[in-house]
Amino acid sequence: MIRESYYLFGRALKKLARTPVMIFFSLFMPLLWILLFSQLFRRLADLPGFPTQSYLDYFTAGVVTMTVLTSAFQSGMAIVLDIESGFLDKLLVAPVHRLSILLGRLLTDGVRIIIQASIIIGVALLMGAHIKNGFLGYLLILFIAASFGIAWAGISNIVAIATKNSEVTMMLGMLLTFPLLFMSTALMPLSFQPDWMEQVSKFNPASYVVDGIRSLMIANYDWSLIGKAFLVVGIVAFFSLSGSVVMLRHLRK
Amino acid sequence: MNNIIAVENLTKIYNGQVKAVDNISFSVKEGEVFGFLGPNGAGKTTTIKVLTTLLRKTSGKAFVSSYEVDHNPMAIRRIIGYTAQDIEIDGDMTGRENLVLAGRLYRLPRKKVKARTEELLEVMGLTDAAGRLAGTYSGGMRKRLDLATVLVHEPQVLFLDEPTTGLDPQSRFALWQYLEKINKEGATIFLTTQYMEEADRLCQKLAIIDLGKIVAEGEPKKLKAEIGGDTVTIEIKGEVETAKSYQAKARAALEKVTDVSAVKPLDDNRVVLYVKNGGLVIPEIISLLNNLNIPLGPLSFSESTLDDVFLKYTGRELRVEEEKRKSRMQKIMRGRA
Repeated sequence: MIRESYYLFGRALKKLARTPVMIFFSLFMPLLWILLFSQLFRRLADLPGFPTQSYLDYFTAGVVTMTVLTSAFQSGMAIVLDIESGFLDKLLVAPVHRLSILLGRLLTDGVRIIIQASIIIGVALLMGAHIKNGFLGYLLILFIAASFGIAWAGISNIVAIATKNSEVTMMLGMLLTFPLLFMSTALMPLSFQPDWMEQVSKFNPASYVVDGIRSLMIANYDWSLIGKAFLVVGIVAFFSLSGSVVMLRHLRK
Repeated sequence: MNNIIAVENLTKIYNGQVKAVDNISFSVKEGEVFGFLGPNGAGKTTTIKVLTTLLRKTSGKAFVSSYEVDHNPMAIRRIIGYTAQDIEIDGDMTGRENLVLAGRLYRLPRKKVKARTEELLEVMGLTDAAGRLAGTYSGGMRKRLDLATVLVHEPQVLFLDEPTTGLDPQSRFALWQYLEKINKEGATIFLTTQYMEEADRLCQKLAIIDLGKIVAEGEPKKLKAEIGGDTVTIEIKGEVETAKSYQAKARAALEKVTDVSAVKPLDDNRVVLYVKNGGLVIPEIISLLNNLNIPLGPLSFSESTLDDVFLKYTGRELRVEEEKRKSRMQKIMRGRA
């Protein structure tokens, strides 16, 4: 199973390398956010009780998570293309575990997300942001981002396999990304949010990922926040990946 | 020889409504080329998708090399190769990359992957184009690459869904030769086709399928012999209404002739007869119809082909059905535009 995943990972990676535009496509919005919103909202950090001196330091984790969400929501597009070209059928009649078919794809999404997240963090650093935990913290941030991206991409794949429709798959990302971000701790600390929104944020997986990444930027290693981020990633991954495998099996209807 | 494919009372109903395959049974012997002959929508593709583990059946049993399709699909996938009607290749990879990936997914040793890839590129006439993205290939090249990708692992059983549809005559002929070669080397081939010529040339055994049911099965030679040696087509002159009544009269009379094994109406004006010793019977037929004062048009005579076999068992002409369907489709498409 691992070998097949590796071969299919190689295939998807090669395709990504041939169309590097794919990397920049979903990067446009997050770049705009980090450039403009970090300036627009910079005085928020002056409010009493705001956790950081610089809004940029606070906001970068939110934009990294945004990048992960937009990018992961695109993952399903590739499987729709494989369904349309019939290539998926070819994989399905081959002696390849269904999870390998997904992992080959998702690992490539992981690579794409690592590249994208590094670009965003690079821009933030150029703008004056700081990573308190240094290079190791930076690597951990990328690791959280990539693993959350892989887990979240599973959701996009479930929708893609269920609908076999690229528009619907695309729309889902556009419709859900912003509500998920606004109703999380990406832009604003929980204590600054209205009560009802605070409740929603608590159940939003994106909040935990944002908090984990942010802790690596602004605090010394806070293992309870980092641990929670990984726990949430694990839970999402379990449901989204097993869901995708079930959906792939279901294609045999 | 042993059966390598065995299908017992297979039924497939889509969405609880559309019965695509209706209680069919057949078997394929190891080393055989077995043809499934029928028009579009007959149930050919559905059957092939059940056997290749792409579709779950509704009821019945289906075995490939002693493995039941729903119980042990992984074991079946290891030993089969399958090409669909539509071309299934990755256009963003080169021809060579498509083949290498296929070889690796079937866990061939690295050296073997390389050797098989180059061999198949050669056989399919793709060596020069091997380094180009498959998306830039012509239709015929894409089809050949598609076929090559399922041959890399030297499957024991090859499932081909209309393998030569869309190929030019030259490529078709080359493919037939190659299929004959790998069949000689031991591969069992299960193919579907709409082309009688293809079935006649390649298949040692045939099943004619129509509307989800197998209507005839056997060796092509035997099927042709069953309908008598020759086919005579008679045209009756006149307007549709009068021709119809003449036709009924003519059929009643002709059925009594000893050497005539079957009489089928082809359309409003034409009648097809399956006869032994056509050359001798024709004068008898003509005088019989003259005595009944039936105005005759052109009469044609030929040795029986599988087309006639199909017509006899389904009451329809295979290719004509296709033409009708196409013109209907064209009308629909025009209506849309």
